[in-house]
Amino acid sequence: MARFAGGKAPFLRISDQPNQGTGIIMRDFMIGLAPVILFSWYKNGIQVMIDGNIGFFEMLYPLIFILLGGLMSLIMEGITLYIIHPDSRSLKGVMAKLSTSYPMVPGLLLAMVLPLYTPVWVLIFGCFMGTVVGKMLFGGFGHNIFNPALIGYLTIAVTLTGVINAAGGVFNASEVLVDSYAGATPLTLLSRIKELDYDKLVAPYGTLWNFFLGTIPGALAETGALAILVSYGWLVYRKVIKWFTPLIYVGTVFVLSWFIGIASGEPGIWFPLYSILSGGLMFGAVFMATEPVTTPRNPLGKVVFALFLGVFTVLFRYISTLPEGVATSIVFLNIFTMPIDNWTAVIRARGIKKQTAIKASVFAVLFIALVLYAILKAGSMYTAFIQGPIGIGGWF
Amino acid sequence: MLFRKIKGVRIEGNKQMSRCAPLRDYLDPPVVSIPLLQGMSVLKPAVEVGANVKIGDIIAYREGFGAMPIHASIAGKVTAIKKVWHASGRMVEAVEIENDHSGALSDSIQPEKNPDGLDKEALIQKMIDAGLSGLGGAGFPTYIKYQTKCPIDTVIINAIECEPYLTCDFLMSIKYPEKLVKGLHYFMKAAGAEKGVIAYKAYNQAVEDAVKPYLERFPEITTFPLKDVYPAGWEKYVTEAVTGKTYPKLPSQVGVIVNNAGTAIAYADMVENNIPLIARNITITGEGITNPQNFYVPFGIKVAELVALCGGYQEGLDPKYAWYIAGGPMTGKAILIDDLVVNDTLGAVIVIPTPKEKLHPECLGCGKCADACPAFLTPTEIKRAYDMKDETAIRNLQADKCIACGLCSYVCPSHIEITDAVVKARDSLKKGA
Amino acid sequence: MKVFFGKHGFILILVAIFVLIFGLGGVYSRFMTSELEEHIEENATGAEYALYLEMFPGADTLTPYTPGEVSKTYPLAGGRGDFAPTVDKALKILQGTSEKGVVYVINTKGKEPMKVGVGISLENDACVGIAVLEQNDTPDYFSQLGDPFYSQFDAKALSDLALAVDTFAGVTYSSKAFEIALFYARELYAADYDFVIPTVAMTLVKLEYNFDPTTFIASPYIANIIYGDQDTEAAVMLSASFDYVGLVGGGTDLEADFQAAVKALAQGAGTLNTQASFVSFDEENNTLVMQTKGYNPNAIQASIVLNDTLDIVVSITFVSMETYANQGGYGDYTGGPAPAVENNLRNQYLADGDPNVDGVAGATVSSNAVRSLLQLLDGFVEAQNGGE
Repeated sequence: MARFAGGKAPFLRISDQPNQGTGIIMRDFMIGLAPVILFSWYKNGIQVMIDGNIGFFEMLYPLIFILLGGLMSLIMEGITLYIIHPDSRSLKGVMAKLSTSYPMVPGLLLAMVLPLYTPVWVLIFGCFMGTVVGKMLFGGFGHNIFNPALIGYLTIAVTLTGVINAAGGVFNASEVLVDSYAGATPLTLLSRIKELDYDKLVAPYGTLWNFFLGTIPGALAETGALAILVSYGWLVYRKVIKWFTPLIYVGTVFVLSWFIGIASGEPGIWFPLYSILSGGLMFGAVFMATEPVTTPRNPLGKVVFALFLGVFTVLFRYISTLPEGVATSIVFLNIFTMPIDNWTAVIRARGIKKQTAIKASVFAVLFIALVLYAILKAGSMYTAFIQGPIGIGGWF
Repeated sequence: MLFRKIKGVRIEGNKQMSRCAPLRDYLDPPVVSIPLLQGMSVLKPAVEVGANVKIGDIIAYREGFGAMPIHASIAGKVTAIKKVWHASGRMVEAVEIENDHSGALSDSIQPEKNPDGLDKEALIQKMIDAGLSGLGGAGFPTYIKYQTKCPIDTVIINAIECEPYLTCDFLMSIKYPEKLVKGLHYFMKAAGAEKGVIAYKAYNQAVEDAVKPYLERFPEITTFPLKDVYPAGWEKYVTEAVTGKTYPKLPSQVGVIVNNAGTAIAYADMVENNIPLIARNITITGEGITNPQNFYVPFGIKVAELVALCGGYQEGLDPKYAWYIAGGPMTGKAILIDDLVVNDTLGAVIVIPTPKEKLHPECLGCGKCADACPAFLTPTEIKRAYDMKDETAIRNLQADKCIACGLCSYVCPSHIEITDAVVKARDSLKKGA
Repeated sequence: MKVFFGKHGFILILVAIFVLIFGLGGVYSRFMTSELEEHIEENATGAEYALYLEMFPGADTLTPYTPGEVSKTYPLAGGRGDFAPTVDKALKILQGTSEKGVVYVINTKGKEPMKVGVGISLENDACVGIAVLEQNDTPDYFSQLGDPFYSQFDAKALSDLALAVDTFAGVTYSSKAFEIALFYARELYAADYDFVIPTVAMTLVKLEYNFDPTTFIASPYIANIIYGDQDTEAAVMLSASFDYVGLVGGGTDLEADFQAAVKALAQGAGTLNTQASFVSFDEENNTLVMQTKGYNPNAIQASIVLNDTLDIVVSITFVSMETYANQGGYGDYTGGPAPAVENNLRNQYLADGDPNVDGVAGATVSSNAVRSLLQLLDGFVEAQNGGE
């Protein structure tokens, strides 16, 4: 009688298959980032060099900058592991830990949402805040509450914006020469003029088609909606992210912006389109709102999370003084991931029954109240520049 | 309702290994040890050591819930009542019978003169007398299903066999299609149902081809192909797919009874020839088996004998790095010693080498488990509640609905024993209740 | 030491990489920032340089250089005194390695300070274009300068003694700015290159108004000059734009060289107020018609009735449409419609016979115009008297 190995059912595991598991998810995620990184490099490096505005070494900067972000957060996580884990005090030990904790992701994502002319030391500071403070101090991968990249981003946004602007800011060497941009990205412009006027908000940057392609000023990788959509398609195809989270998030912002437009007298569909195509919304929706550790696990929870993300983004963006709102709303909702997950898990397991109706209605009432507040408040804050109707073609 | 449609997961079947060889009868082993355990209930032996038994003689009784007799699977002498390894992973008492190769049948095994004349009660009584329990894997006494007070309109025969590697139900169905159809026919009569459905996996077209000729006599019986996903063979999935109805606890609540194909074939024999439940089909397969095959064997036979018939273990197989799984790979148990006997719930023995050790990250929180769960549970939350020993939360999260299908662990990219945790949480509820 | 490295070598390497990236990255970022600043500056000058290169077909490079120092003053239009233009920068225009020309960026002044680039070709010593870089003149006037005006600079030989700019009617102030720039550029060019500003031996002794009613319409000015090797004295009549008309009292006309020279000298003298001029004289009724230029492109007209000996003004009647730009009146003055200001000044003059009348507040330009008309008129009357 031979003695066999023990184990627990099920004996088939996707994670045991040779072409599956951590490494593959990591690889797929990196491939998913590639179109956005390449677009960012093209827009801020190659195209600018083709325009003749920068030299070769400046052309390499966006690419090196983004990769440096990944490398720095890798190194910092390695050093932190070495310090806090006595059993990781060797190359092998640290490597073993790093190979399963996706160490490069926070830095890469952080670098991608920073302006082009961010000094490297600011990036390193952001990586430190994200990786060490936002991730490792919570107990490392899988235990962090907040999205590490966004912790880094928000810290920089609060403390070091001036430094970044002094170093050159968000415009690349071609954009800085365009007088019509007037030193503002579309969203900072809106928060400045508080007026829904196509000629002022969209026309200086071309048409909405430019917004879609991403040839408008903005942080390194956040503008390329088309490239982000390609990434989205790949990540969904490889099942790295859930298809509906970004869709619901962006959709909520779209619908709400439309209503806000109507409430302030601008019923044109260009405004919701402008809303979802400008700033980091698409990027945040695809790469941050789907980040698994800090968002709800069950599908219903993801839906609720995405819906609230949409509302809070609109609130932060159009009602508070923050021009962006994506990062803030994601980090804010990260706090509520646990309760949302728990409640929706119960609702999902039981269906809408007497026991779960209260929880479901709390979500519904909260959501509707926030939506109404956003529409009424923003509708009264913004004025629309009434003009003759333009055909949809005119916006592209 | 949104997000509450059972999707199932497509799992690589690995069925081709044991599919090609025909079902092999091996009904005359030298010795059998019939375990005295069915489900959770320990059986009371009805024979003494040294007694002579014929095939079909009662050797034990199941008592309490689902009380019914258990029969000898071969003719011969009871040599001992001693412990053997059981598919549940424990050692249990078993009645050992040494075969005298006489093949003598019990007196009760007589052809029924007019099987179609039997009424509902008589048909249910036959289930009890024959000790019929589900051959699908749960081993639930069949007659309990038919004693339901709910009106039944459909009986579904589950020939789906959604677990990977398993092929014995498929081979059984194409070998005995007439018995399958007849068994269903009697089930319908026993339930008073108007419709009968044979559900099979869409790619097993052979099942439909085999049963088609016999369906002409039974127009109320139809076939229904299902998608190749796991767990397509789960009662709830089958019921929802065939009738479009979902039920909270039991299929009879929506007028449906689901039975395994093997059970139906055995039942046809019971009704027409009064043969009790003494044999079953079993798949011996896996990468660790030289020549995987399916057998039709009496209860109590040693699996090692069957493995030997399959050419033994694959050369070079190191048992330390291989699993010996009783049951399907998704729900079965790893048996540490390959000294196992066949009982009513053992549909397969699979020997596969263990996968290479890999480093796995901590829980990503990706939610794939929640996504895959056919019962719409959120395993991560249940695990968290279980770790915190929060019984109210476990109950609120409906851990009792878990069917231990193993999908959450299967899809988990971090190789977390999540199924195990949820099952433990579920069982802690049962103990508490 | 070896033990220490064996134990902590790994972390030391990580920290070293960290520090290395920190340092090199910082250098890289600083490089990026300084390059960006440079690019912005380059681009601003790049657009300006493109204008200059356009003036010289085939040219491809510009090199800034330090021009020679030249200080000169020129009278501004409207009798507002002298102005000393300065050179902002000078650029050599190259085609490959061969020098094609030079551009002087000159701070000049129209109504307000103005900055223009004057391109001079080395091949034919000619101005090949003027580019306006900055100007703050009244937009309504400045915008009237169109292609016909600017095209005169496309090929203007610097060897032209007078080098006069054809003033665009009504935009005298701005036109003058271009003329100053052009003259000053010629001076700079002469200082930097092998070019001599054409000169003729001539001295302008006196430049005065022509008060002879029989000729003053065609030639309102008379210049007394000494010219030629023999220091010949002559009095010449000049047209409104200082063109040579003829000698006073007839005689042999000046040679072409001297004609140009007298124009250049008269033009450059700037001692006469050219704002007012005579239009016609009716001998039978002793009626003199004069005009002067205020704000309105249609000049202020005055009919003046004189006594028989033409030495006493009997009455002055103004015909005026003086309105300031689009405001429908004299600048800030709102005392009444035109010719209220003119009449006010006339009454001052008729009261005491002093042509240096006090201007009316809020209507400075019109007052200046009328004052110069009265001064010219007074000069005429005095001249008749003196002639007796």
